[in-house]
Amino acid sequence: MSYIEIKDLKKIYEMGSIKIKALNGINLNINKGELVIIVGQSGAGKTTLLNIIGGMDSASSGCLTIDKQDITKFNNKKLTKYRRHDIGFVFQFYNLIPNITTLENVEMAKEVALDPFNARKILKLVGLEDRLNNFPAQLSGGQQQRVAIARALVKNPKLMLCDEPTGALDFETGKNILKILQAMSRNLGMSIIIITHNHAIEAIGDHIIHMKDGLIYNEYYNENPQNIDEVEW
Amino acid sequence: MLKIIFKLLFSKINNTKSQFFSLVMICAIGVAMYVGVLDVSKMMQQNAQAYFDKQKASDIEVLTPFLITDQKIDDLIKLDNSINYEKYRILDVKADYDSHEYIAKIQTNLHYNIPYLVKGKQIREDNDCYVDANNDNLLNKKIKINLNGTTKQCLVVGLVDSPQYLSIKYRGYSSISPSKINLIIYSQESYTDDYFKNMPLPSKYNALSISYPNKTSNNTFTNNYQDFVDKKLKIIKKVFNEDYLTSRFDNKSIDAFYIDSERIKEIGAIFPIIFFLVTALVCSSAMTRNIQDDRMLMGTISSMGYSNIISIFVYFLYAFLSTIIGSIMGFFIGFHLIPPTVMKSYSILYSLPNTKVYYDFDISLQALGITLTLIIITTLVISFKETHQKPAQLLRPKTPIQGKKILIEKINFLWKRLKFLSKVNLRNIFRYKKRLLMSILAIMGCSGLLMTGLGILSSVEPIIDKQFSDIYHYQALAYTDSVSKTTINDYIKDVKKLKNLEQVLATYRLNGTININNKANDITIISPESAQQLNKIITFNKSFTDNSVIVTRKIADKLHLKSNDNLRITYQDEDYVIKITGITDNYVGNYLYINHNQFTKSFKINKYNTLYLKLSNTKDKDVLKKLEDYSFIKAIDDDSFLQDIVAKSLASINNLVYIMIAFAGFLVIIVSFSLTSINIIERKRELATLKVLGFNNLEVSNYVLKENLILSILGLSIGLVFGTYLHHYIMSHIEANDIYFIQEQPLINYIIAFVITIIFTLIVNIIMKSQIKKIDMVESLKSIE
Ligand SMILES: Nc1ncnc2c1ncn2[C@@H]1O[C@H](COP(=O)(O)OP(=O)(O)OP(=O)(O)O)[C@@H](O)[C@H]1O
Ligand SMILES: [Mg+2]
Repeated sequence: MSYIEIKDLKKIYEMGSIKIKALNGINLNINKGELVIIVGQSGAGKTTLLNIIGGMDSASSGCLTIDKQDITKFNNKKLTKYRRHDIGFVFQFYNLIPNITTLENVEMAKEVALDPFNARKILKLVGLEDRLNNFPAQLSGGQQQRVAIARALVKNPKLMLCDEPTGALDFETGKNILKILQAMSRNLGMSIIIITHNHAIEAIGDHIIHMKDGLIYNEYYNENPQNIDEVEW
Repeated sequence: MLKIIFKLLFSKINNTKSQFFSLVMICAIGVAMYVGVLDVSKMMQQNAQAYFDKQKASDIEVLTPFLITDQKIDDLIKLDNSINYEKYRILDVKADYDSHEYIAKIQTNLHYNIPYLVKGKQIREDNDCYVDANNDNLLNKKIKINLNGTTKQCLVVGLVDSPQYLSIKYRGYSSISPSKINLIIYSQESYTDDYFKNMPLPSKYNALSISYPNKTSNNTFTNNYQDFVDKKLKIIKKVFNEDYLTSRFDNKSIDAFYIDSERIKEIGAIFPIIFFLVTALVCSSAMTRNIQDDRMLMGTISSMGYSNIISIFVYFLYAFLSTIIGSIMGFFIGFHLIPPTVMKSYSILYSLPNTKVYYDFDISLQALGITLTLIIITTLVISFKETHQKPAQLLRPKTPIQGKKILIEKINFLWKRLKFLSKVNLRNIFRYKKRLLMSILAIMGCSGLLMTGLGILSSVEPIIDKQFSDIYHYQALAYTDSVSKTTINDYIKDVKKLKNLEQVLATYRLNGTININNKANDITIISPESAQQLNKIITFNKSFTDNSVIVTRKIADKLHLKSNDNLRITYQDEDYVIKITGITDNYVGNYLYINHNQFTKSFKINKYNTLYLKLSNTKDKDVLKKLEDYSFIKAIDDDSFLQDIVAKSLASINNLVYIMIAFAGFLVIIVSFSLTSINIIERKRELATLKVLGFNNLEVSNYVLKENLILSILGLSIGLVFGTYLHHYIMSHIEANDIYFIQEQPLINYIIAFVITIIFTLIVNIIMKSQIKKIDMVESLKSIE
């Protein structure tokens, strides 16, 4: 049995008489420790899928088992707990708390975790040991995204979900971020799902998923994922 | 162009229904409080004036122990031909019905001070009469009227009110009995003929109503009117120099009404203004929020190539519309709720039939003007500021204010000890300085007002007990002619034979005036035959001795008097300067208690005219009835009469204060609600992030609501101090008054104000918790494309 098993997952938005099928029957298995890359056009349903996997959103129908638990059957309380202990989120626009420092942002997430890492160590890992006492607005976009990654990581989550983590960043900085994520996956064996528009990034993933119109239309595994440094776009 | 503006306006209102609604509501209660409370006294006076006009209240009444002769009227017209007048008859009589005796007055006026028929029919037959309206049991009954041995029956066909007897309580004294008059009978002139049989012809009138058709002011309650009447009084005095002249202000009941209405005015003077300012503050901060929240609209409009003016105009209209709707609602609520409630409570003291709501356009315009100006200026400033940015900037959310270290962090040992989340809370509090200030000011205002309202209650509530139980220990006063010590002692010996009289003390009593801020204030001067005995009748702060000259607190406060200062008293147009030796607490009336030696020296009077009566059994007042039979007793004042009037007047004040307290409490809720919801909307993204991180609902709520609680407590603490000062200011500036209001706030008020504010804040927090729970993570964090 895979770590994540998704069966016929649907998400339908009803707007008056119009039905928008954001997810139109997704079937997917993801193993523990995989670095998954989801690629697809805008509106394909990537974010919707990720949000449901992360317990931020609920499905209209279908099953989603993670670690043998069907989270589509979770109530709000259980979902909160699930997000708290199992999931780390990274967003395109960082969403840091503006009024607290780098270190405090990370410590904030640590507060609610079960078995957290040391906040300073994680920040060193993402290369921010010198910026511990800066506020988000005093950091560059890439640095802020690294804080966001550190914040997700510090909880020691079972699953990292990253929605276009490099979307707002330039090439070099984006690469830097992906490097950290790849290292996480390789060194800590963490399961990571990354959403991107950029096909070039597929090369670094273990498991590649192509989405369109709420469906997976192509899926493959990389036997030998490339090092991010080798990838050019 | 106009079409697009209105389309945008209505979609904006539609999208922000709840904000629009709360803006309208806050504006409405602010305006309601402002116009309602500030207008109470004016509306009371307007209603009284309308009543005077409708019933043709006379300007001056002349009453003579002799007769009003045509000669005298001709003399008067020669001096002043602008008068209208009516001669009529007025007689002190005794009446009885069902073996209950009334000390009554019968009068025959038709054209002025027209009786207003409350119940029953018009007089038709010779023997028909009206009586005043609180004698429901006499309607359609025959009462017997007795004067000088002549007894006639009359049938009570109607119950009436009269502007002459505005007060339900004051009917004056009778010339044929020591008791107060308790029944007024209105009859036809012919009915009284028998009583006048033996008087010389042709004129058989003893009273005269005078009215001036061309007055400089029709409004009784203006200085202009008073000055006018004072001048006319001087003219009339030339003709009727031996008679009693009474203007409306010498009419005890109109005067009491005037004082009551002025007292209400002073008590409700500052409270509504502060209240109103708080609501205006909250409105403008809500509007600010509303605009800043809506950058997308502005961005869209200007990226579509329209001028910024359009979005500014949309906001202008939005603010304008909400203010106008709110103000109009406020006018209706204010005028229809507050003055009528207060007038209703005064109806136990004054009979004002058919009270109406008068809209006061001046006050309304003031309220509307201030609200509009404040909100529109805020709106314009903020929208100019916001639209100044590039469309692309506008379409992104406002960059959050940069985090900063706060002062407390410098106090390292303290900061280190704080829990992580408390640190975050503290930093957040100081993050938005404007919001911090706004919240603190608003909560301070609300709790301050609450404190003030409670304070006024406790300034008013205990007065009756303090005055009539703690200070006064007598039950009645009996008035005699001015007589020597030996004579008064004979009187006392005489009455002491009656049962149930514990103590009888002879005093001389006279009414003078003192000048406070160029206004004559009544003061009663009392000089006891025995200083030592006075202490058993009245409790002084320091015992009254043979050398005491003690003035009551209100006068001392107003004139800033200390022991050994001089007090100037005017008595019968002469000034007397008296050195005082002390000050004593007193709540109703102004008194100077002066030892008899000093009194004789200053006033050259060595006589007595008043007996203080202290009963052994205070419940049994039969002895007062028996005293009426003593020929030397001219009048008896039962103290419970005064106590009752003061108690009712104070209860009416309380009714206004209850309204003010209720509004203040309501304001606490609205303000705290609006500030919290602004806080939550503003930080939706932040809260959604916390949810994603796996913070549970309680933790997320605490994150903002704790802040709220801290802000509330901060504002509240300042508010309690502010309220103490505001209350003290209001109470110590009350002028039109012979009542001394207690100035201190009891501790319990602080506790109540504190607890109420905290409870209301907590209730709001609970409501807000569900709001926080509803925040949708996906929606709130949707990346902005
Ligand atoms: N709250 C909503 N109500 C209605 N439709 C929605 C809602 N949220 C998403 N959709 C629709 O669902 C579909 C999938 O959206 P989703 O955000 O998952 O796409 P995406 O693949 O992440 O696109 P992008 O690459 O642009 O982020 C879209 O057609 C979108 O319009
Ligand atoms: Mg997306």
